[in-house]
Amino acid sequence: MPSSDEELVTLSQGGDLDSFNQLVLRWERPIYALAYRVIGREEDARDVAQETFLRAFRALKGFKGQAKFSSWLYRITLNLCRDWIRRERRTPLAQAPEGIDLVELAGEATPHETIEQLVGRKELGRAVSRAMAVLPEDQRTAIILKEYHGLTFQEIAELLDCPLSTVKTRLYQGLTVVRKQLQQAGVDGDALKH
Amino acid sequence: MCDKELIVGYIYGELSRDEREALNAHLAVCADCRVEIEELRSARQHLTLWAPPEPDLGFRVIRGGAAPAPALPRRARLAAAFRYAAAAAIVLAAGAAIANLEVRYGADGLVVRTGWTRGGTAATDTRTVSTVTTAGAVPSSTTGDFAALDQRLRQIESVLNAPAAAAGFQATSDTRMSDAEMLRRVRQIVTDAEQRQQTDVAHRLLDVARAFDLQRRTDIAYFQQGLGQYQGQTNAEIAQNRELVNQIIRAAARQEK
Repeated sequence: MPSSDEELVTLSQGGDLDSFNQLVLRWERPIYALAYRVIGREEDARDVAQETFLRAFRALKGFKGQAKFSSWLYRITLNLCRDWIRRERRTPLAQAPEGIDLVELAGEATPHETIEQLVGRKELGRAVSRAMAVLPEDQRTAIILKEYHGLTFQEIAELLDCPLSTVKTRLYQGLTVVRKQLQQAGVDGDALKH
Repeated sequence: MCDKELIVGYIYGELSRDEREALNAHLAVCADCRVEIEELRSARQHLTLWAPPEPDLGFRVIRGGAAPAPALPRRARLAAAFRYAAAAAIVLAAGAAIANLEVRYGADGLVVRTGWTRGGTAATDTRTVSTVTTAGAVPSSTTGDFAALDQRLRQIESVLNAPAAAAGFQATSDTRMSDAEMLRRVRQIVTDAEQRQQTDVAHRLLDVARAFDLQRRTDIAYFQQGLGQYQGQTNAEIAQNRELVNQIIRAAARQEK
């Protein structure tokens, strides 16, 4: 039976590396995905994810469990992303792969999806990433935490150290901008129905 | 127009019962808000299409006193052909390194290794070295291998760079093979090697299976032959016994007469 994060943290704090590795295995992809969506660069996102676990490991003794372990990891990740953005002095930009490999794509197609539909889905995904890249960092982060990590308004507020109303405002403004960006890119509401 | 916070709470399902009822009552008479909510929901649906790439992660912490292998120097002018050739030459060694990012925990500190997945390995390796204290040494064979490999790479690089420089060609970051391409090719090489190995093993297994089958058939034939002989002998004995019994019966009958 899989152990809870809390149990694994306790074991890890007692020096059980296997337990910490289980935590790493459990959270490495969400952490990488968070970093990737915030800073938009694959290699740098991987570095951020790696550094997140390093810092978590170093600071594990001091983790008192006042927040969820995942929230603690998210906070470390977001701090590292913020550092990266300041260091690089550039706006996060989602990478758009050059060209489309149809052979590779074919392997990703769902049984009921044609290549044309799959290409369309990929194009839509790129349009979304471009729309997200336009957002200010605080709005983008709020949307990412809400949409892709399923945090509640309250959890986001605690993570970002801001009032609840600020989180809602950022989400509203961010979604509004994304919607307009997609409309400008010619993506309409029916695109998903095909 | 509605309160924006209420709209956000509505589309994310985080309104209290009272708030939701109040908003529903408003939506019944406010077409603008209905449209806005529909559009924001549509935007949310589109957001689901944005997926990050699938990287090879595999971070882990390893206990032990071993320090990482020494970092290779930065090769800012590494030509794509050179990198490919080098990768092919060290594919088996590099494969394991590429497959996993590794976080080592030594007696005195932490060590991070990312393998050779990145073109600019120096940044990662430098950081790795910076996190390493004076923990134990790398096995000598590994150190020697790296030193020899480094030496060999330098030789190849110098050969490749010489004619390029003469022709006015400068290998820049634009001309370098991308990390993703590099990784893809190395993986392909590893996969091909594994497939060849699997094919070889399959052939060997097939040979063994054939030999076994042949031996089995031979054994069965031999056994059947032996069984036939045994049965023949047994039948002859039965016939003899029956004949003997008949003679006894006949002799007894004659005596009774």
